[in-house]
Amino acid sequence: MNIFKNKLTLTGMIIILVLVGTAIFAPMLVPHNPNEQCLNQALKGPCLEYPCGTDEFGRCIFSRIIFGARISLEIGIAVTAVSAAVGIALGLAAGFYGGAVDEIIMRIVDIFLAFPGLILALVVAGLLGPGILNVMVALALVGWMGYARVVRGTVLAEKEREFIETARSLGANDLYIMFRHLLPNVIAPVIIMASVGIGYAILASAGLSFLGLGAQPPTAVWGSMLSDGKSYLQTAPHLTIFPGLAILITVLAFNFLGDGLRDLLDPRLKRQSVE
Amino acid sequence: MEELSKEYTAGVFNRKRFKVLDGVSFSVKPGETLGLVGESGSGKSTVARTMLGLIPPSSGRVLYQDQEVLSPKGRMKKEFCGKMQIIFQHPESALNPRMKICESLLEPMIIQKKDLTRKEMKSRRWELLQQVGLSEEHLNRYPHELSGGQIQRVVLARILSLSPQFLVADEPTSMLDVSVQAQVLRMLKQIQAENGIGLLFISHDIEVVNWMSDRIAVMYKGQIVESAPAEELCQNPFHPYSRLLVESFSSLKQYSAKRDWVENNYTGEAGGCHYYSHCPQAGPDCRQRPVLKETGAEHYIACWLT
Amino acid sequence: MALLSIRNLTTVFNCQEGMVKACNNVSLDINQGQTLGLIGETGCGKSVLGLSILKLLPVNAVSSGQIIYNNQDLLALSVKEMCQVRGSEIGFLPQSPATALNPVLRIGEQLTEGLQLHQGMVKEKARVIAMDMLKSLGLKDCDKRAADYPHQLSGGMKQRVVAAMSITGQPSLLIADEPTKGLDAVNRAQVIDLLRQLTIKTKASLLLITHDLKVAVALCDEIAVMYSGEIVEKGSADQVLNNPLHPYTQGLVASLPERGLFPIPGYSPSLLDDIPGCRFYSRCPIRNENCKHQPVINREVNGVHVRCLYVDQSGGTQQRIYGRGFQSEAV
Repeated sequence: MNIFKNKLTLTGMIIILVLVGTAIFAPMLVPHNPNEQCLNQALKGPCLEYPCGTDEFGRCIFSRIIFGARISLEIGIAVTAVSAAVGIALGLAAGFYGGAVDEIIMRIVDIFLAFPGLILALVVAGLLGPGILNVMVALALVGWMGYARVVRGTVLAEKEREFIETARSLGANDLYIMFRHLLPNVIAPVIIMASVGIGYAILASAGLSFLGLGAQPPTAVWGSMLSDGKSYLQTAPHLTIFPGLAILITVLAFNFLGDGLRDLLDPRLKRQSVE
Repeated sequence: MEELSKEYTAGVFNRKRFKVLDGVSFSVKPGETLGLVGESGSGKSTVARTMLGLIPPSSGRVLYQDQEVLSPKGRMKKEFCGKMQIIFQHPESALNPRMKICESLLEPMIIQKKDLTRKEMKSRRWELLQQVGLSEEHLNRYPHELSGGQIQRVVLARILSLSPQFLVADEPTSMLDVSVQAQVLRMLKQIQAENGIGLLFISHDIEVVNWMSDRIAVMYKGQIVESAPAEELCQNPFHPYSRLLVESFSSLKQYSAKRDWVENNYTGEAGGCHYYSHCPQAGPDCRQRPVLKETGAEHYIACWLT
Repeated sequence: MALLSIRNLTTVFNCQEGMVKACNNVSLDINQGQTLGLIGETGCGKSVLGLSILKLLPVNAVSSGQIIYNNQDLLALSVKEMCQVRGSEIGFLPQSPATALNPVLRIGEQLTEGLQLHQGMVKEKARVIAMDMLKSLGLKDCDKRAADYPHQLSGGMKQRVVAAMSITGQPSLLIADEPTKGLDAVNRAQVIDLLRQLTIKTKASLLLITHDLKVAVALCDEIAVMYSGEIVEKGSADQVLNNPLHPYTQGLVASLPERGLFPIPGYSPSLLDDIPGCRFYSRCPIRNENCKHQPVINREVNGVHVRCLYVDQSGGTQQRIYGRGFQSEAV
């Protein structure tokens, strides 16, 4: 497989695997209970006992970051899965049926795209009230349009191919053609988008929790850890540096993976046939 | 078996005011091959796709054993799916690139929900493979791992799995090398003879059509301008366009386009003969639309010069 | 003295699956003013040969041997020197005129581009020459057409424009890669006509790469037949069509529609495989044990170069080996 030849992609994949492992085995990995407060240990810098130091309530930042990985990954994957599913379904329908169906769906997409994504998510999350689930809903709501557009575009090209016409002349119904023939042929760009999209969703959820719209205290979330730490930025920068690094590395890893997948799946970059 | 006939009466295909097909009618008997020749853009492929309900016609009918094939919306009715089949031109897009050959081969049987068990289907698949000269090693490959000729064989096997009575072959070998073309065409002819399939063979290569067909119809700008038994048409083409076609093949060394081939943009609005602007023998009569007339035994010509 | 002589050219692609030998020890000569047809089926390496001459192959390809053009070895030239050769010395006529033109530039601009670039002409002068070129190729209303964009032209006109582009630098060798692929009979006759005009007008040599034997016969003095990376037969057009010597060429001729459409059984071997003997062995009707192991060399029989162990001096014994009897086992 080509994917192992690209060092960045490989790095991205390893980091993601480590992250997933961390999220799954979080309770076994942490040195402290992430929500346990030791006020006499507050605002300590990194040391042997607390690898990343402690926050203003004396909670172990390292443990909180590890537990935060769980929620971040959950949000990232769930948001991407939902928005991709919605986008694929609408994109397939728009591209396949064309005409009025296409027109209606694509105008809805345009309307959604007319709002800046994060601000729209902010409004939605604000309306729904704070909470992890609401953040997910808000992010999924602003994330599906890209998928719909890409899928529609690919379907438009693919549906003219002759095997689609053959399937039709065999008597296959629309749903069968869409899911058996079209979907496998449009999934490649979706996978690329999704891998980058997970990173984006994590970043956006961090942004929302930074603004206080995400998980409620004392749940450990990278975004709200950043937010809580900002008042100590000058006296105890490790409060913000470590969660920030966690976000940075995760988002980068997903981007690397996405780039690698693009190189792997993009037909234009495939080896040219030898004549 | 009843006589299989196929009519296409007054099929006017209007799209953006381009008449792609203009009153095309023909019939194919069981076991017979009708060759359809014409230059690119003459509407040959549109005929093929319209007959199978892939493009709705603007008007006209397609009859299969005297029954209407297309639903009012222009799609093929369920009961005819499988009885009428098509082979397309491009081997590279004829099969779903994400499906292995074995899946592709089973697909028609699954869609048609013939009451076959998985095991029966697999044994049927085995028979079909042998019929088209492929071996088991091809089953686990993907389409891009096969050559064009092999893919057309797979397509043929898929089609045979539903034992169709009528087959449209839309330039099935124009993308293949001559030696492979010979393999595929021979197989097609053999299979057709064994199963008594009515075949509509579409191509721009009049020699290939001559070899394959019993009768030949020449198409020009959406109309059939001449139709005759194959031998007759190749030896005595009458319509000026048919003559041009036959001549451009007849001799190898004299391959040349001495005729003043005028570049014109066809709009379909002129009422006269479509060939008027290119025809070396055009006269005043030709401003009127010619109709197909029988001039000899099964020889039909649409030209005022007859 | 040959204008272009290719000596032992071997082009290899390094792929994940291994080494693909697309051209294997190919030697060819093209004389001044000669038209040579290179025919062979899809994937036999004929396009690679054409691209090797121009050094336009992808990065994973390695060519060895010699390509001598006007006493200089093209394979030894630097990238910069090669740019000088392309266009002004060797013209290339690409396969599809529809995609060979840039859709957002006017025809006139695209035509004069080469002249301005290669010969440092001023715009006005280049324009005059380009217009002459178009006119000589039979395009009407040149001045008006030059202001058009490619999509405003018909296929035949585009073909002319692309042909004009390929000869603006007044090359002495033209390479045409499958100029008639996918065209119908009438258009094909036009393209052949156009190419014939081109060669007469420019007095350039032509290397015509095609899979269509009939096109090659119509245009060329000599024909080289390529099979699985090797040239198996090379002779005059008339000889190749009417008295082919190599079993593969015979099969190719027999599979023409007017010769009865008799196929060659089987498929050509993968270019990945290293075959010690004859590469046509598995499909050959006159094979024997020697062909399997013994390396086959080029032999000259009555002025025809043929790569087969069993072609006798008269070349007559195996005439018409493809026929009805042979056919029954073929399908």
